[in-house]
Amino acid sequence: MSKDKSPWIIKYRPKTVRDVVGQTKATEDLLNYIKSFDRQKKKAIMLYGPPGCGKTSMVYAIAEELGHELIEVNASDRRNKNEVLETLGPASMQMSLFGGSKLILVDEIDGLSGSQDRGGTTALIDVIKKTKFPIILTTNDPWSQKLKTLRNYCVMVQLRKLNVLSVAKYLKQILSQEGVVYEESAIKKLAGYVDGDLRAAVNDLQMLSSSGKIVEKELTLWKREQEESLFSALKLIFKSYNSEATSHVVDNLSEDLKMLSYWLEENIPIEYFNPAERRNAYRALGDYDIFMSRIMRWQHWRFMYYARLLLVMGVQQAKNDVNPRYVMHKRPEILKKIFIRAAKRAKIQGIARQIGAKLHCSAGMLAKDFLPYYNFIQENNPEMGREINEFLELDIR
Amino acid sequence: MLQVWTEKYRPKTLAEVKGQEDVTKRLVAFIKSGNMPHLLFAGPAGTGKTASAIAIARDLYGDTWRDNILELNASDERGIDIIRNKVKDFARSKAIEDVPFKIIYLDESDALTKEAQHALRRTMEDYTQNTRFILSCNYSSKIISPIQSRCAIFRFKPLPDEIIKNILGNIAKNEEIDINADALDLLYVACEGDCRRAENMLQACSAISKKVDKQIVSEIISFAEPKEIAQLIKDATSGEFEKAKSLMQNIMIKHGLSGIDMIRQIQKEVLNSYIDDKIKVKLIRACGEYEFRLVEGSDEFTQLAALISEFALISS
Repeated sequence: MSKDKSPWIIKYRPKTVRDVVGQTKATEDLLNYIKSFDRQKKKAIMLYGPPGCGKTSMVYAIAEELGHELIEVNASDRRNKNEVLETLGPASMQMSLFGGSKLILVDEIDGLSGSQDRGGTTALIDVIKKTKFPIILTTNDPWSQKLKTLRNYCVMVQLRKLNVLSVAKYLKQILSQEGVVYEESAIKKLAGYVDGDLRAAVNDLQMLSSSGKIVEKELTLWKREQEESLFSALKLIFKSYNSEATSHVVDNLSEDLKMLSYWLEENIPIEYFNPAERRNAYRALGDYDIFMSRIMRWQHWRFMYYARLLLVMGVQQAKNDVNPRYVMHKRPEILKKIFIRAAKRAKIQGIARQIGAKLHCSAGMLAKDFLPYYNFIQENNPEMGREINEFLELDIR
Repeated sequence: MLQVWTEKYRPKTLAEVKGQEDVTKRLVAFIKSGNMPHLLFAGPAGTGKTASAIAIARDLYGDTWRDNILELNASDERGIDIIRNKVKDFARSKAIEDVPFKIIYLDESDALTKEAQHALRRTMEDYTQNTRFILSCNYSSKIISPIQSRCAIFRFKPLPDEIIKNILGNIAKNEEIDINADALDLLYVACEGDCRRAENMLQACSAISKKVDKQIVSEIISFAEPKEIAQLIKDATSGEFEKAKSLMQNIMIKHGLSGIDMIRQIQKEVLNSYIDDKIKVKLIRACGEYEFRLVEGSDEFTQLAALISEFALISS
């Protein structure tokens, strides 16, 4: 087994153009573009294709092979106008440190939008107009409205979805280098599951190989568990528009819808940044809640149909765009808070019950009309507070 | 011994119930005749409904009044069955004195669902021989008509300021508290016509000083209201959504507030804030809409998070 402990996805990234999996045509196009850059009218090239088809890896491999310095701006950087100008402006104009050539990669430009990257696109176009080096952009969806202007300044290159055979072949290469035993059928199945996403396939492969061998039975089990988990539901709701696949996963959740709604409640603000998206998402959660309470009130279970749709599709369709950043979903804190408040209210009710009869008053009324002032007296005049407790025969622990 | 003033100064007779003379006049007539129908008291909080019911019992039964009245609270008792059982036990137990009927006072009866009210109607009929019901509510429209038609309905008016100030003035005099006119004005505004709250506030003032001025009253007012609400609105309307959401949850936890309480606090604070009036209208409208959604739904935290996101959108 190899000694390199880095994640497989990094360890086995293609080092040369020949290593790039299944994208012969696109690799050739990109290579030719870079070699003839001086004669190109358009100073940027846009690589587009589904997630995990090898866009970024291809750029890395080519930079390495050609010995070009690679300047990268990726999804984890904030890319508002100033930052784009500050990093890319000088980089696109000055010669590289050792006098060689450079490639500038702006990865996942879908993320270049919304309030956080205000003015980013315009700034990027300015940079493209003036650049001395090839600027390479990558995206999953090149036809989206917000990339419309940018497209005019780019040569477009498509990467195809990887087929099952190329994925499987690549996975088997990794396994033999790692010395992991595997069932042929298991690898075929895994390659099928990932739907052309090589990155996902390699990550899954590394996880599965921890037991030293990969068998089909285990894979099926693991896959089902993963599919049924809340996390895939969250991922589908937040990161896709695929309502059909999402409904399928939600139907198979072991947790109930209420639990899913708590998870959504907690994670909406970290997935959706736009105020309208957030409002639509919370509104959908609220609609779900209203339908659930109608079900409880009237025992009209057909409303479940609406409740589920509002929860799942409502939150899913609330977004304008998918937030491309990877987000670690937070466990709902609200459960703890609901519990604490219930305890607090129970305590108030308890006091109210003790003194309600004496003051001819309901617990709710006491909480509003009496307890605040009672607390004030306790804090500001303990002597008087003690006497009042005596009068109320209130047993304060 | 020191007492809670709302009890110490609770009217002992109907004649002492202030500001509701139209009502008390007729109630006194019932007592004189020694018979009365079921009664329905409708009116805002702290206007004398409970006080009148107790005064009736005192006037009717003298020293044994406590044994002849059963006080129940619809918002505290869970379910109509518990009410029915308590009513049954009370109605069956023998009266101490020779009284024609005993009184069951059901406070906040508008908290009962329609179904529970229908059950209550039957209970009222079953024990009508030896008991009379006095129901109280804020809005008589929330009481089903079969009950209304079995009751004589009395409407309690909001107390005018001179009545509340007069009541507070008398208490102050008796407690040797020196309270000035400004402080009385402020107490009247802050109690929102609720005499019980006004008396509780005055007693809290007395915990600080025997000389009560406007400043002391303000101190009580701001103590009773969650201070964080202003911050909450500021966060919500300035793009700090997550901060606002967690602050909102923490306020609810700290003060044990219900969702409705929370919305009302927010709505009050919005009205008092220095936000542009055009925005204010939109925010208030959102409060109204989400209060409605809160009543329709059940998850208060979710509906309130949605309200905060609505605030953020309105002010974005």
